[in-house]
Amino acid sequence: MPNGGIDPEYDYVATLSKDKQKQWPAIVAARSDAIEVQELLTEKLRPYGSGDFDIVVFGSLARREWTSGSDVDWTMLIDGQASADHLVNSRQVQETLRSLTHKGAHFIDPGAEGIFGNMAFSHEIVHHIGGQADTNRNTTQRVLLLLEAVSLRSPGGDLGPCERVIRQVLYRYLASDSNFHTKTDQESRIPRFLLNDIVRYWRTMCVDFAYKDWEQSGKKWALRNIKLRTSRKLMFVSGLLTVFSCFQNDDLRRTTNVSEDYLLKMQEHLLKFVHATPLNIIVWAFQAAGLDDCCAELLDEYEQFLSSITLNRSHLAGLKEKGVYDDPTFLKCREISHRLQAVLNKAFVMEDTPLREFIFEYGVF
Amino acid sequence: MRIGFSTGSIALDDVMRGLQVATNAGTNAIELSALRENELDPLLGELDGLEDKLKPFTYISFHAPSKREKFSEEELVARLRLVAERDWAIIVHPDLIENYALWLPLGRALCIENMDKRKNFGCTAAQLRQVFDRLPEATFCFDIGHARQVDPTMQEADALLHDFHGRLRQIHMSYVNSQSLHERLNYESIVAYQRVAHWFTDSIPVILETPVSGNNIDAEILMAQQVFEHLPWYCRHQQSVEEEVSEHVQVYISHNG
Repeated sequence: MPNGGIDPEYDYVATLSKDKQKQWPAIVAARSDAIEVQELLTEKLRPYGSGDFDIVVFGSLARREWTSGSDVDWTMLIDGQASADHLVNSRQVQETLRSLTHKGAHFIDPGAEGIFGNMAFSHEIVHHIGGQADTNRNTTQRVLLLLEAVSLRSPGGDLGPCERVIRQVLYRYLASDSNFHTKTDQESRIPRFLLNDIVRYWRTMCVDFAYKDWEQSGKKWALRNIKLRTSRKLMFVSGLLTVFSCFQNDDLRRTTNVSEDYLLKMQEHLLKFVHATPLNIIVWAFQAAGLDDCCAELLDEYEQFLSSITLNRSHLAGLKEKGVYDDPTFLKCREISHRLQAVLNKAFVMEDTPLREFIFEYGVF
Repeated sequence: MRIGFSTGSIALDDVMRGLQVATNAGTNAIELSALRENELDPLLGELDGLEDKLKPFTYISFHAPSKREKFSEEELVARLRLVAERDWAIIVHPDLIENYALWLPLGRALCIENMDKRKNFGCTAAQLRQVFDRLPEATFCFDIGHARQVDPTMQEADALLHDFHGRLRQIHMSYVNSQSLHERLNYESIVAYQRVAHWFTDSIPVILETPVSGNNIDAEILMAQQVFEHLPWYCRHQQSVEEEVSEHVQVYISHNG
C-alpha cells in the first residue's frame, strides 16, 4: 500500500530507467522537447498573463510528452474581475502562438471543438461540479486542470490564477465529500467525489470519441482512436492512481478531530499529484504497489507508442475511417495499445496487490 | 518623453539601490518612495547628499507614506514641506488627509493620487472632486492602473482625466490586478490604457510602478511606450530620436572611416 506522497519535481521515469537498465529515448526526448517548448511559450506569452489570468496549456505539452506535430491546447484561465478586454487578449495569444516556431515548425492550433484556444472562468469551474450547468466543456476544463495542465507562468512562488483555481477545485471535491465528515475513523479516506468525476470524465472522453466521429465525419478518426487507447487512457490511469495514493496511506490517517485540518492535509497531498506528470504518477504508484516489472513493461509499450506517433502522426491523421483496418501503421499502433492494455490488466486486476484491492473496492461499483 | 520608475518598484525600500538601477538604465524620471512611514525620516535626511545622484533625472517626485501611525498630521506635513521647497511633486493618497487646512500651504507640490478599489474614498472623479475643491492648488497624479481596476471599461479613467487634466502632473503606470497588487504591464493593460492616452502630452512624466528587475527595465519601458505609439506627439518624438541616432552614426562613421 502507498505511503507518503509524490515529489512533483522528481523524475521517477529516469530513476526506473537506471534501476532497470532500460532506455526509453522517445519518452526522454518528448519530455525534453516539452520543457523547451514550455520555456519558449512562457517567455513569449508573458505579456498576456497577469495575477488575474493565466495562459494554461494542456495535452502533450503539459504531460511532458511533446512530439513533432503536437498541437498547443491552451486556455486563458480568468480568476479576477470581468473585463471586455479579456477576449482581445485571448485573440492576441492565438495570433502570437501562430507566429512562433519550434524546431522550424509552426505551432498547430487547438482542435475545432472550442474547448481550447479560448477563455475559461474560475467561478464556473469551481462552482459547477455536477448539475445542469456542468457542461461537457466545463467538466473537461476542470478535470484536465487536475490531470494534465501547466500554467505558463514564470517561476516566482506566487499563487497565480491557475494554482488558485486548482486548489479551490480540490477543496470542493474534499469539502463536499461526506466521506470526510466522519470524525471517529482513524483510517485514511478515499476522495470518492474526485474519483467519480475522474471516472466520469474518462467515460465522457470515450463517448465524445463517437460523437466527434459523427460530427466530423470521421476526420482524424485513426489518430484520435490511437490517442484514446494510449495517452488519454494513461492520463485516466494517472487520475485513478492519484486517488489510489490515498488508499490505506499511513501518512494520511486522520489524527485530528478538526475537519478543516484533515481536508487541508488531503488537499496538500493531492496537489502534489496534480503537479506531477501522468507517467511519473504511474511509476510512483506502481512502485508503491510493488509492480516495478509491470511498470517497466508499460513504459516499453509507451515508448513504442511515442516513437510511432512521432513518425506517423500525419499519416494517421489523414487515414479515412473506411479501410483503416487494412493500414499496417494503424494496425501496428493498435497492437501497441493492446499490449498496453494487457499490462494495465495485469497491474490492476491479475496481480495480488493493494492496487487490485483498491480497484475492486472503489473502481467498479 | 520623460519616463522612469518608482524606487519602490525596482528596489522596495532601498532608495539608493533604486537610484542606482534607474541611473544604470538611463531613465530620465524618478519617484523617490517613502511609502512606509518609517522610511520617511531616513530619506529626508539623505536628500541633500543625493544631488549628484539625481542629476541624470529631469523629473523627480516624492511619494509620501500611504499610512500615518507614528506621526501626527501636523508632523507629517511639516516634514513634507522640506520636499515641497524643492519644487518636487509630493504624491499623497487622499485618505491620508483629514485636516485640509494643514495641507493647503503645500500648494501645487501636493499631488493627489486616485486610489484602487480597496479604498472607500478617492477612486472616482466625484470623490476626488471633493478633495480638489478643498485643495484648489493641488495637482493630480493619475494612476492609470488603479483607474482600470476600478472600472475596466476606462470610463472612470476618462472622467478623471476630463475633470482634472488641467492639474495632471504625473502618471503612475502598472497593471493592478484584482487583488490590488502592482504587476508588470501586459497586453490587456496596454489596450485599455491606449483608450485614454489622447489626454496625455509629452510634458507629463510617466512613473512605472511595475516590479521589475534591472535586466527587464528596457523591456518594461518599451512596453509602456506602446500606450503612446498612436499619438502624433509621440511619433514626432520617436522620429527625432531616430534622426539623432542617425546623425551620431554618421559622425562616428566619418571619424572612424
